[in-house]
Amino acid sequence: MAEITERKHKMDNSVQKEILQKITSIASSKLELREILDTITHVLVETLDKDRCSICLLKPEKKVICIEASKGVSKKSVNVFCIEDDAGTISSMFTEIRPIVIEDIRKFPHVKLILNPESEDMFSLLAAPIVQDDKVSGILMLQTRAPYVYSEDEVNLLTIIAYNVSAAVRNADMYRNVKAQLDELKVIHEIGKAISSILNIDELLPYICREVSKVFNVTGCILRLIEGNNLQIKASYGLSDSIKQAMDLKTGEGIAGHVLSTRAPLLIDDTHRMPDNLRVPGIDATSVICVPLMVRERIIGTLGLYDKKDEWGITTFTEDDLQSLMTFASVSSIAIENARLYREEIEKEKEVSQTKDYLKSLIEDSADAIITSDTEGHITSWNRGAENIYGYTEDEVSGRFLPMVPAFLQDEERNFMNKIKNKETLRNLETIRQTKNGRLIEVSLTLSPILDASENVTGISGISRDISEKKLVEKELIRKNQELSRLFFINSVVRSTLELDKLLKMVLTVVTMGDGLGFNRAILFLMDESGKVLKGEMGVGPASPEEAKNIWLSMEGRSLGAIIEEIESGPVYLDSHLDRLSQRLSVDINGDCILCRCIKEKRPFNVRNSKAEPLVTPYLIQMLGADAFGVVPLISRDKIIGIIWVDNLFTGRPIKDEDLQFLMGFSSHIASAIENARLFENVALAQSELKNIFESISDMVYYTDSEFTIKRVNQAVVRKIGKPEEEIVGQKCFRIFHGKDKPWELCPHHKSSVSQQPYVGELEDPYLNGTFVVSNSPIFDSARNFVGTVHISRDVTELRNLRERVIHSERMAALGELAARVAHEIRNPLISIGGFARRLEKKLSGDIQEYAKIIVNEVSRLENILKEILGFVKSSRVNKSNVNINDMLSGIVDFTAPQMDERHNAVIKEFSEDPIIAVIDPDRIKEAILNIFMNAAQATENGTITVKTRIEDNEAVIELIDTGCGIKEEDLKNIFNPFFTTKPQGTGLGLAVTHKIIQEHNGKVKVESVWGGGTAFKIYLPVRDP
Amino acid sequence: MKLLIVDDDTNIQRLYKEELEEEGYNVVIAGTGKEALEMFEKENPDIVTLDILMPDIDGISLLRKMKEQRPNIPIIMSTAYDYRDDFAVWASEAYIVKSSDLGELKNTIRKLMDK
Repeated sequence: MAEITERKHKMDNSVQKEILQKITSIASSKLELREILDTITHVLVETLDKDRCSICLLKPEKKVICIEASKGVSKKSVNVFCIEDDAGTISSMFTEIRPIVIEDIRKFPHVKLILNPESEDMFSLLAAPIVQDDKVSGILMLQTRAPYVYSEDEVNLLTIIAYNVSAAVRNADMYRNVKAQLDELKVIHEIGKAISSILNIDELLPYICREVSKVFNVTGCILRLIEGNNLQIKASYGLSDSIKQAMDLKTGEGIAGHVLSTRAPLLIDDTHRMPDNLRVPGIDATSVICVPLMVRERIIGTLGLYDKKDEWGITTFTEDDLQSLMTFASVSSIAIENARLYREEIEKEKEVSQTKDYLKSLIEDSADAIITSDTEGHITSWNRGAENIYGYTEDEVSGRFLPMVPAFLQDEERNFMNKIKNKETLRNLETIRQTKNGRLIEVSLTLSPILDASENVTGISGISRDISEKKLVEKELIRKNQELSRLFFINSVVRSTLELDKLLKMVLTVVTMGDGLGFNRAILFLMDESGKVLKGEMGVGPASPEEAKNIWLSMEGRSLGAIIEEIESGPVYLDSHLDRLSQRLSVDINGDCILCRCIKEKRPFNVRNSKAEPLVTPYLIQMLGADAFGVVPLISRDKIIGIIWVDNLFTGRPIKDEDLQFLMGFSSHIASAIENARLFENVALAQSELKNIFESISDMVYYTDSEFTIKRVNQAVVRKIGKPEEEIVGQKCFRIFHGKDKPWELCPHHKSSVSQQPYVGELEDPYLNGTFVVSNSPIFDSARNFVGTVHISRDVTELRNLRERVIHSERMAALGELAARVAHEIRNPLISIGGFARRLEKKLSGDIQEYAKIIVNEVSRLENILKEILGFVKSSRVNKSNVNINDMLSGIVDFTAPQMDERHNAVIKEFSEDPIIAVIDPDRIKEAILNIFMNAAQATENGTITVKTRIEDNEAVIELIDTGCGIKEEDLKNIFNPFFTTKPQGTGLGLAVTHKIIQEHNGKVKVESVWGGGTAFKIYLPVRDP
Repeated sequence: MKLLIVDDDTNIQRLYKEELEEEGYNVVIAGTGKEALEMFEKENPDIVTLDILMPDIDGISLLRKMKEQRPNIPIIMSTAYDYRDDFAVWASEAYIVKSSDLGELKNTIRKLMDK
């Protein structure tokens, strides 16, 4: 006892003070918490001369961390261990938050529970509670090997030190929390940057896993995405490769599957206590959080973290962790979706460019001349076919006025060009062209306008074909292809702006709305295609202070989300005052002005007094009238695509640098979204163009893959096959087109797929009951693998029949000519023989007369045979039938329309209400009336030609009245005489023939005319055949 | 009544001449187109019979030239081959197919003369 008392006295004030000062300075040092606690235990063991000092901290989930220092042990080997306090021993011991003082612990066995089970050799104990928020959160303990009575000073001192420890722990916790929050913000920001910088999804996903693992300080991370019905591991961190491959989950399977089906985040503290159905073999983790990756309402995958670590080892996740991970997941989801979209677009673009290459080679390889020019006929492109046909090279003709148009046809050509400018397409004109060496050739010509996206005619494309060549049909097919590709080329480079406009409008609305950034006005400038000029694209904001007030009043109570939704679903109106003002703005970026600087230096500018800033040009002040404004560059993938201008013209509120910094942070997202939208629209536009062209071709066009499976067809195929598209696509082409069970060796497709060369051939197909010219071109992917075939098939059945008929009639004509000669040669001698035999017969008598009669009869027989052969036996030369005179006249009016138009004559039809039916030979009567019509057209200019019909006394009366020059009185009586004409090139037969024909029909023709006052013909035809 | 017969076959010339003279006509003959035009002017016939297939000037050209000179002269086109689809032939007053039986020719001449 004497020793104890002695020790008590040793505790004087100065020692206490010294210990306290030391402890306080350690507790407030910048050391890590663990080091602070280490040092405190050591100092206490040393200065208080005790055998052991321990600090136990109660961590979440009743884990207790103990740090122990013993006398005579170096600081390095401080004991740190972890025990479970399932029974809540520590808190139950300090029910009154007072120190526990025990001289000999053997009398208090339950207290031993809180001590290190290995510290059997310690007998005394002084334990002070470490209190936080009125709760015991740990213990500071001193122990000795011998029983010992602690002095009041020691108890008090330890209590004070316990407060210091508590403060140090609290500080450390706070520091850690703040640091964790900062780290989290940093990562979210990093991920945000990844949206615009990492577009390759293969890089993005591991990046997300790595970053999230760092921030949350976890052992492992798994990112799964939905592929079909499965959740596939797309990236991970801290997991072995073997696990990664074996871990596809289905909905409901495992933790991730559970998150997928419930769409809710999940936090598991101890996997050993979770339901079996969530357990996934292979992952050996204690604590898990897992959240869904969502894009809008759609779930695209899950993000899971395993075993959080802190400085003491593995710990559990908190609700805060879960919230942070949710935020992180939503940012990541957008990044993933963006990267996926980008990949799709890249693929689409690749696809489109392949098609382009394919079509381009078609143009070049075509045998037709394909020429484009501007609207004044200056040549802009000239393919190899043109070179072959006309002899000029592209260099020789580029920029020149169409050199192959002969001088005498240039007026006609300008006529054509005017029609094209009115968006007409002239098809299959047959005209004359001149080659470089002066030869005139006949060509068939199709001229069509080249339109830009706003439907303006920007040029003319002409496809001409030397029609002296035979294989017209094949060429026609190839021509179709080229027309298609030309159109496609021109249109695909022009971008439509509809969806982009919506996006831009949203961006500017966010910038100006009170919920958003709250600027008064925002104007978006985009770089034009040349990259040299910034053009105002759109503006959002009021035009005047009054309007500003009205707008802000009307916006009150409406959320930013609601307004954005309105823009998304409704049409975009680009006609506000500021829009119009903005669209007039254009700035050359090579000048020296604030906008150019913003672009060159890629940083925002905050102009507080625009009049005092030399870089603000008078042009901008005059146009936009703001005294202060900010400009922020829009940068996508290191490329400047435009700038955003903001000002507070109406409120005059100063723009803070932070506002601009914020806008700057936001701008890379906007920029990449704009780029994406542009890219997407280009691709979408090109695709729809291609589809339109594809569908509107009248020939059958379809694609098959290398296995003869039909992949796409156009409407012409659907019409010909007579089945809906769904029943054709996916079937084998030989089955659909030829009704066969295997590829048909006669089909050009078979040949082209064997040779892998384009092949054009004619095919008679009994299955489709017709003849087709089929053009097959194999398609290759970028690695030159054969992937399928494009088919263009034209039904030439009718053409072929026509061709056969022409050949037939040509043959007959040749035969007929021969027959005529033979007939003439034979008939004349026969006539002599027969004629003189008749004379003999008359003069002779008896037997000899009989002989002459025999000769006469035989010759007559021969003559009749000749007549029959030569077709003289046709009973009637007039083929009469019931004809509707009004219909027939309408036909004639249509037929003569070009001649009438040429001389600017109008034709007026005044037909009887009821049809007039007469029995006539329509071909003959048409010929008769046509002659009068043509005379009228030639005699009249800028006048009218009236056609009237009526029934009068059982006769059809046709009147043809012109306002032309009329007929002189002395000529009037001669007009029906053959070979009478007043025209220099007339045959004088027209009206004579008319007269004859009408006479043959038992009709009459009458004419009245005044020289200089027009002519009226009246034709009377009996209605009934007499 | 004077008839001009235009035909390049001498046998037929003789046949026409004998047969038609027996009918009481004054018959003059031309064997070529050139001769026919000379005779047409010199003899001033009342009626002409033209063979269409002639070695030098074809019958249709002759028809045109004669009609130009005398629009009202009756002309009979007579041929071994069917030309009736040729509208030019329609300018003539009649069209007959050559035959060893001259009945049709004679009837036609009579009809035209009666007009």
